[in-house]
Amino acid sequence: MKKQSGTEFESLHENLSLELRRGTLVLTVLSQLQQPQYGYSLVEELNAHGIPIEPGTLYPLLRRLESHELLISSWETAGPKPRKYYRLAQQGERMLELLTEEWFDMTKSMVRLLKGSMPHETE
Amino acid sequence: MIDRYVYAVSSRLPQNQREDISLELRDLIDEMVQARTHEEEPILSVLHELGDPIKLADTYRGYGRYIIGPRYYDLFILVVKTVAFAVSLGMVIALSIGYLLNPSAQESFSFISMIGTIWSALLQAVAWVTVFFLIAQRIQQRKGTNEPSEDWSVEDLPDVPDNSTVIPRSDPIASMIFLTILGVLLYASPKIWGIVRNEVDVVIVNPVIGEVFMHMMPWFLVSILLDMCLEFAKLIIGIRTKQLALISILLHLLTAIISFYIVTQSGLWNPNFISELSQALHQPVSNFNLTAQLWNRMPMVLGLLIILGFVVDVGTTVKKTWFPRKF
Repeated sequence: MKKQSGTEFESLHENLSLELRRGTLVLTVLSQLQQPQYGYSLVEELNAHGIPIEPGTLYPLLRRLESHELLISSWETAGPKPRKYYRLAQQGERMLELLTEEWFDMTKSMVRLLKGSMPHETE
Repeated sequence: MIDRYVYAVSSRLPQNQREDISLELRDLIDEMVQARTHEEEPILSVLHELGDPIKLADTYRGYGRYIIGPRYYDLFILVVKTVAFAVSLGMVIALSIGYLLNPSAQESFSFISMIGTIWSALLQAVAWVTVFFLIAQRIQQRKGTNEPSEDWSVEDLPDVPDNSTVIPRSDPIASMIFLTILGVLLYASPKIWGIVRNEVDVVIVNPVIGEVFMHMMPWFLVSILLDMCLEFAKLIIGIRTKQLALISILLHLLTAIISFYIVTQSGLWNPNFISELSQALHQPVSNFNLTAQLWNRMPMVLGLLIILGFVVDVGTTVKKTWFPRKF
């Protein structure tokens, strides 16, 4: 749909911004799994927060985090269909703490860095 | 349609994850479809958004499926080219020698059959190389991703090779050519050797006992194959390392023992060769006294040559690896 971005510059921009967001993905997901959620509810929630994520990216990521023992999953069979819920494991909580700390450090530095490089910003 | 999509993804995944992922995926698709009931073709648009099932399966698996992955691709092409070159040159030379030794078998050495033989040898060689790389690739994937490994340390860096320890690429290539020639000649030898022409016709006089020879053949071929692998390793590693030298010495010790045993102990040589030869040439046995003496000593001489060859080989390997510049 939005694939026809026309010029090379625009598609390059699309790639680079995708790459930028990809790095924050794990942190994003971990931060939202203190309560158990299933894949699609997570997609919707992130969307509501202005963070669009494709299910085709999120679902495999959830599994990968589970295999690294950062998440625990369980099949919920009470509803009409069985559904897989994920939540943070103990290791996941620790990881979330560490990554959050790093995130704040990094954004602080980045803000400083980017402000310095903006020529129009006059003090 | 949903079934087909889910199947297209799950069929590309490891058996033990299929069911789990199928269920999850189906749930996801249902949910996405329900969220879009206002659209005309909700299923189609959902499946389009999820994208190519092959890609999705790759994302689940965490790595792409390759026969030869990007990490080995360049090396693979280099080795295939080299081996193909060595084998075809070796075959041409071997077949030419065979032809010169035995022009009487002209029909079987026709140009077309020669091309055919070379072609099938080439295919074999390339197939073997591919199998080696395939195994390497599988090991790589089992260990992790195709990305360069993370637990990399400075100690892993190879020393900048001293010019004297670099193995010139021509070295293993020449050996491969030689081994190919040797292999082909040995393999074809029952047809090539042992043929004597007298004035009238062609008589077959075999210096070796055919049965024993065929029995020993697998050993010959195995040692040649092992040697090929060694040359292959030299080509890839490109530097004389101590491990390579040790492996090479061990391997050559093994082949030397095998050949020594075959030449001296196995009853390979035809004890009636001289009398058969004299009969074939219609000359009295006494004319072959000298030949007979040589013939009787030949196993011993060949055995000594094998030992000598092994000693020289160990000497040069040790010298080139451990004392590259001295002397």
